[in-house]
Amino acid sequence: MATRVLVEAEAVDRLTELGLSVEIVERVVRRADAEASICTALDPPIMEGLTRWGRTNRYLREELVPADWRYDNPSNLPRTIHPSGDFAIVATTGDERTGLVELVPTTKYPKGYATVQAVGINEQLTLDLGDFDLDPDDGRTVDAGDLRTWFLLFHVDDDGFRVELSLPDSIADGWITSWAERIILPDFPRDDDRLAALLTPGGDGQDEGIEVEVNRRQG
Amino acid sequence: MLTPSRLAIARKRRGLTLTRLAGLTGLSTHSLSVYENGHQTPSEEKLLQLADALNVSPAFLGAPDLDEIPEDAVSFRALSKMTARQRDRALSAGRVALLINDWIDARFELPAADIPSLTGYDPESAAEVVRARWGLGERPIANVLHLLEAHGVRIYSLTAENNELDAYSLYWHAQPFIFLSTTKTGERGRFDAAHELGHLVLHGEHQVPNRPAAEVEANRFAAAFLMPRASILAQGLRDATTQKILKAKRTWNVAAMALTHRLHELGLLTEWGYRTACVQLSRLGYRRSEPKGISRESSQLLAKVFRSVRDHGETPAAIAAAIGITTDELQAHVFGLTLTAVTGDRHTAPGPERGDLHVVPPADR
Repeated sequence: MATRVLVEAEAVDRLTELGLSVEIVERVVRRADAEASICTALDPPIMEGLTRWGRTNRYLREELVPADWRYDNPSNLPRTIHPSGDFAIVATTGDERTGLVELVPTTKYPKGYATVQAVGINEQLTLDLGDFDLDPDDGRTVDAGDLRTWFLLFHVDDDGFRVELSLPDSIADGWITSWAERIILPDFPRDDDRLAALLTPGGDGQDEGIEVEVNRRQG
Repeated sequence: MLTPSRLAIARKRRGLTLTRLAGLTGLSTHSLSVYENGHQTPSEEKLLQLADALNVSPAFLGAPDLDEIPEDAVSFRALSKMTARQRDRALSAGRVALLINDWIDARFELPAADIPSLTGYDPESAAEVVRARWGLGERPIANVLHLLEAHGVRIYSLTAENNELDAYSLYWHAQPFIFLSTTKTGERGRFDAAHELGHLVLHGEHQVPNRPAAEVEANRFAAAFLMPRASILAQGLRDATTQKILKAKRTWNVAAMALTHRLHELGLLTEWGYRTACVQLSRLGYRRSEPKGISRESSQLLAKVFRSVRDHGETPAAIAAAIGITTDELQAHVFGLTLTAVTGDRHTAPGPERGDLHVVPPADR
């Protein structure tokens, strides 16, 4: 089935429909990154990724729970559930294809039973409904298991963060193999990789790295 | 009309005694003294003479009263070696910078102060708290000045006559300021800025920061802030050789000596290893300077302000005139912090609005 890929303005609109925003996601990703940065070479090697994953889910919940989202952890799958009960979001580390429109990403690590189940339900709902717009008037009743699971895929490299919110519809051997919909967020540049740019002032006003907010007062 | 406090600030800013100013203006020491005490007001002609000798506009001397920076608001590293005149000169120069800051603040929304107050903390823990609060983890800090500015610290340059100081800092109406010498090495500038952050964090309240222990604490804070213990321990620097130190210092962009000291402080160098490294680094020239060092950090805030000023067709000369100082004086307070923004303007053709100014900018030197 063809993947619906949304970028830029379309992606922003779709996030809004889902009760999210680029700002919320950026804040979540950056806060989790700050936590992950506490790890040093003396931590066990998985600690940085684990911290990032754990905190991304926690901060996502910290942003959304005050807006009436709920959460649960069936089989250790950290779901953050939309107030409508129609869908949940799970943050997970994506592979290096994450956030790239032309490529088909998957998760960085193979997934277990809970994800396989969740993707199975996505697939089922896809077949049943045939489209993915959240239509409050579709008359559908929501059952406990009747919940789409979106994945907030994030990938970090030297250039920055690439993030997408995507709805998988097939999985094989623990690897997601296709997506019904992908909402690609703009790249968030990384803070500490741009020292060279920082030390060259007077450029085109596109100072990167730490941004010191300077704005004219109105009036 | 003369505002006595402004006469005193302008005089001290030039490092002049009453006697010296009397010599420059031909006025008597007694007259100057009664002007400064507010017991008498000089004639218009004498006011002009004073303004001329002090390199400010008559408007500067007549503008509303200014409270001086109290000397016990500031921790000077080498206070015992400073004369009262040097101290007054540094503080009065800072007072002029505060006026520049007022001008900017009235026109720009700038980051709000976000400096934790950690009076009584051990410097090592205080540095960890600030890092945690600012989300820095254990990573090296890419740009200390930008980081400080983003957290609401305003940074100005120490003026050239005050360069025997490294830096000083203070809270002025709850707004943190750092005045930084911009003639030291890039590594030294970062350390000095972090040292002043240490004063703001550790000695920002209650305490008169003016004591040798405060200086030691601020140094320990700076070292811990720039070179967090956990990140140093993770780099395999136990018993590091001089070569290894020279390589490793680039990770944190600190001076080789500062890293050596930190390694010793953390017990990673033996007493003997520490001394050997110090001697070798000294021979290689790392005590007095930083061979093949990094370039100095500059102010993002001031660069943006002056860029916006230029984009709005205003000139630094107009800002200086509004404050009642010369363009050179304005330059002196941002020297080395804005590499192009201010000076660049002086080489472009003056905009048409220059004709509207009623104070003539001074000729370029």
